[in-house]
This record gives sequence, C-alpha cells and structure tokens, in this order.
Amino acid sequence: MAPADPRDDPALDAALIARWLEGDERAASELVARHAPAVARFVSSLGMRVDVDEVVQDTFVRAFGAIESFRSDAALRTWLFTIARRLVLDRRRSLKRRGTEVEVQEDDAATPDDPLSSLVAQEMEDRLKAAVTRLTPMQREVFTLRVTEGMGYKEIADVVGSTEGAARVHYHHAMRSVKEFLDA
Amino acid sequence: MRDCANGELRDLLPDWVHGRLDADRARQVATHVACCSDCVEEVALLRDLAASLTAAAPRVDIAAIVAALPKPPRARPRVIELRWYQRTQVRAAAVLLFMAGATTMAVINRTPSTAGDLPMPAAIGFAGGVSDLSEGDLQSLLKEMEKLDATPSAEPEGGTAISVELAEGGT
Ligand SMILES: [Zn+2]
Repeated sequence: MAPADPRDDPALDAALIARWLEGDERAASELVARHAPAVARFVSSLGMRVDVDEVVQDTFVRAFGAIESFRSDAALRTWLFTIARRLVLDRRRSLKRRGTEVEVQEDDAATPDDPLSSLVAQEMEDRLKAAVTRLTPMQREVFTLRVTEGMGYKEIADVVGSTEGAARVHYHHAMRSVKEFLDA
Repeated sequence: MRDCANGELRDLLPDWVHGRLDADRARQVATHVACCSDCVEEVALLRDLAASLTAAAPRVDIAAIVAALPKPPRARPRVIELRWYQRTQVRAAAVLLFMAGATTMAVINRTPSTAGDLPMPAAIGFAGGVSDLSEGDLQSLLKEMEKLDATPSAEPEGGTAISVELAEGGT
C-alpha cells in the first residue's frame, strides 16, 4: 500500500490555525512550510514564469488576513490554491490591460538545482515537462493538481471553478495526450 | 502506452500513488496493479511526472512569507463588570484599609516624635466617604487585592490570575 500523505491532515491544519488565532506566530511558520511548496508548484503549473514567489506570498497574506472565514470542513490547501489561482488570473488581466505579454510557461530549461543528474534522466524529465506543456491551460491545471498533489476531482473542481465530472474528463484527456506524446 | 481496460480502477491510480485511499480500496488497487502491466506503467509514469513537475517548481522562501503575514489577532483582555456584591466587597476592603490607615495615623500622632514631622503616607491622605469611591479607586484597590491573591500558594491555581479591566459606568 502506498504511504499515507502527511500533507493531508486537516486536523493538524485546523489545530495550527487555532494556535495562530490565539497568538502563536510559530503556528504560521508551520502552516507556510506545510503548504507553500505546493502552492508554488500550482502557481507554476498555471503558466507563471516570474514572480511566483510574490504570488505565493500574496496568497498566504490574503489567506491569513481572512482565516477566520475559512471553513474548517474544507481542505486548507484547496482554499490556498483557490486564492492563488485568483491572484494569477488577476495578474494576467492587469498585464493584458497594460498590453504586456502574458507569461506562459514554455518548455522549461533545466534548473541548476535539478535533482536528476544523468543526461538520460534529464532528457526524460524534459520530455515529461514538454508533454505537460503541450496540454491546454485547463488540462494542465487539472492534470498537475491530480498528479503532483494527488487531489480528488471534487477538490480540483473547487479550485478551478468547474464540476467534478468535467475535472475527470480533463484529467483523462490530459493523460491520453501525455502518453501519446511520450510514445511518439 | 496503453490504457488499462479497467477504467474505474485506473481512475484511482493517482489517489493510490498519493496514499489517499482507505485501506480496503488501497488493497484492491495494489492487488490489481500487481498483475496488470498497463497499470504498472501508468503508476511509474505518474511517479515520474510528479517528481519532474515538483523538481521544476521554484523554491519558496518560507521565512520571507512568514515575515509578510499579518499579526495574529491577540486574545483581548477580559472585561469584568463588577457585580453589586463584588463592589460591596471592594468597598468593605476599602473601609478596612481606611480604618487601618486612620488607626496608624492616630498612633503616629500620639507617639512623641524625635525626628520631627513624619511625611504623611499618601494612602492615608485619602479622605471622604467610602461610598464615594470612584471607579479608579476601586480599580487600584482591586489590583492591590490581586497582588495578595498572586502570592504563591500550595493550592493549585484556580483562576486567581485575573486580568481585570473595569467596565465603564460600572457604579
Ligand atoms: Zn490495470
């Protein structure tokens, strides 16, 4: 059996939020450490190439500013993704209004701190990224949430403002497209 | 790469990879994957994709994010409105203090002094009817009583550490 995902602990999130509301600032550090890397991954999957850290920071600032409105029956990560997505869309709109080119993630070059060292592994990783880059924006968003975060269709639908059924269809179309690209 | 014919099970593979299934479901998927080459391939692909997309994500500065966060809402000090009997208790304590002060004054006044005039302690300078005590007077008296309460006791603490802020108009 696959190991349980430690990030999936709504009770721990709720306890940390309660501690923060009571004035414990260390609880905020724990919450940020638990979720910021995933928020950054998600923001990147939306096509942001620059200012990812700024969007991630804004996401947490907004979330903590309105944390009393957070429903503890929902997943904190889903809520954070929803906020991050809105911020990215707002930025895109404002960039468009100013006539600035909207940054869209193309095939990413290898980063210096890439964990895969061998050339073959690097080539494989580049191919995987390229396969995902070819997806439509909606497919890529849904696919990334499902594949990297392991989110269910209901949560994904909440984040992208869609339905569970549509999220499932997007995921399977994306998977088919990725496989076809890799087989070619 | 082919898609497994068992669509329902294939749909669960990402959940299984991320450990999001309950024990029964996880066992069901594991049993299937063990004898399905299509699903073995897809599971490997899901893991590679997750690793590669995760590695591609930018690093975030946790400390910088935390530093930018708003301050947590502090627990507001408890406001205790004194009830009539509590006010009576405070006034009774004031009467006792007043009488003790007056007695001390009487003793001082009757004792022949060789050191000239003693400065009158401020607390003894209190004059006027006890019932005329202002909220400020009540508050300072209450604080004095709290200091007495705060002295170490063998008994476990039971809410003696009162953070008192007198309510306006509580006369
Ligand atoms: Zn199968």
